Amino acid sequence: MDIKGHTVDKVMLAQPVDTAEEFYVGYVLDRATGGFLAIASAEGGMEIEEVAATRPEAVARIPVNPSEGVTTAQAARIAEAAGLPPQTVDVLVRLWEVLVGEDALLVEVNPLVRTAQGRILALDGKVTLDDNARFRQTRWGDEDDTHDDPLEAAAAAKGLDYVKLDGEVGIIGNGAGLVMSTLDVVAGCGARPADFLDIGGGASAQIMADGLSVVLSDPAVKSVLVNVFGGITACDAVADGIVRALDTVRLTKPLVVRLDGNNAARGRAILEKRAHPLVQQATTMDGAARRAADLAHAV
Amino acid sequence: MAIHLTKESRVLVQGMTGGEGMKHTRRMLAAGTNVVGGVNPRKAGRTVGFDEHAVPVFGTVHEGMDATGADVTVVFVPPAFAKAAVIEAADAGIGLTVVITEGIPVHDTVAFTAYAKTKGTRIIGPNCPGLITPGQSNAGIIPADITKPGRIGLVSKSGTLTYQLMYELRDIGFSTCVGIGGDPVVGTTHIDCLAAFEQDPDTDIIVLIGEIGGDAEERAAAYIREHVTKPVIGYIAGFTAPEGRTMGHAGAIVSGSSGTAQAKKEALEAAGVPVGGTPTETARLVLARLEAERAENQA
Repeated sequence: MDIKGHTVDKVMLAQPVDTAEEFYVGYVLDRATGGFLAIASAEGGMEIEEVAATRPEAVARIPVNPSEGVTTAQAARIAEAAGLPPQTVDVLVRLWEVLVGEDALLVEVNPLVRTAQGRILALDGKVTLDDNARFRQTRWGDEDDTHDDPLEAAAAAKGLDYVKLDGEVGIIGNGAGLVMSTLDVVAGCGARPADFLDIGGGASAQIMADGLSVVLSDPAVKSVLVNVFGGITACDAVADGIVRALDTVRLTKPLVVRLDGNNAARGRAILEKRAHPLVQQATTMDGAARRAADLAHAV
Repeated sequence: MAIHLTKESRVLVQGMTGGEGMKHTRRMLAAGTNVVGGVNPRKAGRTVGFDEHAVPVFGTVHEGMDATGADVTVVFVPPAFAKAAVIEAADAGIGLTVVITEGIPVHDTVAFTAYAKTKGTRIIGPNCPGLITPGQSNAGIIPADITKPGRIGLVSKSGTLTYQLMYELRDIGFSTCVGIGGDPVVGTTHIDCLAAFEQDPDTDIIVLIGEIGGDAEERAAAYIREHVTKPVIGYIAGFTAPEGRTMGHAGAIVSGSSGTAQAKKEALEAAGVPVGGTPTETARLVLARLEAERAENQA
């Protein structure tokens, strides 16, 4: 079974419920205030974003004091602000305990219902867990590392920070911001990036080789752009990494390398000496992106 | 002057005796930073040699401050211990805590940023490269030798994009560069830095670097419109990032229609901030603006 592109492995069956009222309750990280917000509404059962857009007064948004959390008194204030019945106060307190105890960034119950018999029941819910907390959340068990995309699975197996995209220019760079920027600059040259791959600050020869092998194994890739700014990492070390990667990975597509920053001249000299027929260098990021885009279109 | 960090700053390093702490303490000292001590309860009383410098290790931040008059601490401790380290620094009453550590659970960051606020401690980070006032002091992991002192202020979510711009504008130079970090919750925002640069007599022009996720750049744009008289030049990374995927930084994610690069660019431009299409074009916009100001002053 397939729902919106997700393969369904398991199905939960539940008894039908005779609902009298449907509510929405949840806690979500609010980046603007750097804390958590309680969000509650007496109009549950539908998309809360839609309710918030059409009838903002029907959705209560109350900041939670990080040092106090959600006490019974605070929960009562949330329930009252949203027009929820008093039986939901206990749910609000326990839902907060779930958020904190599970290191969640979002917990929501939608709908939370009052049945015709007067019971409060959570019929559906959603939780987003914080990956950074994995080290202390042993109950979570092993990460579900099944990737729908085989390239992402291969990259994850090698511990690479890789996202598959649907273009033709393979991208490898150092630092999340610089790699995102590289994708944009390539797109600005009329080509489409094939991936996001951040090899991080201390790009070793091994990481470079692993990264190149994943990107080159993508049949959609027609050219590869390596964009590295040597800040802490020196460019000669990066160039050594690329040269060693070329010894272990058979290069089948043109590779454009831009090295700039610390020891850039030495790094460029190392690649020049290697003189691989498919490797060419560019001195600027924009020039390198243009070259990689042109090469992808020439193939 | 500069912002938050000057040659007078007396810097402690929490986690100095670990691998990253050792490496970067050496680099900070080489950049002229007045590193007055390390903190590690298990190594208190020892002295660690870095080339010609001998740096004492204290058991607590409090002892380090008492002995040296330290007013800044840089935190390199692992994610599991970062919250305790920051709270210890805040309890000791230090003015500025720079949290380099990547991978801290968001609940911990929410807790320690809120706590530090009650103690009057400024937090920069977490998951950030720190800040540098070139020629004076370097608190964190920003490479010190790719630029020179000058009159540009820079605030950025991304480390490598900061380095890229520092390098492209190395002939003009910087008053202070602040990497505020790529996590969803950070202690110091773009707005905090804009306010400080606006007040700083050593800063003439401000570079603001943002990326996808959240609405910090939109809020910064609104702040600029109301409160900033100095010229601001912007750059945003992540136009080609797909919806719902985290791009390297934990906070770099487009959720539905919120957090897009396009919305951020439009908000900044509506506030009169020119936004470069590439890092190089952004550097050119800075140069052009400085040139225009110079011509205006001569006329």
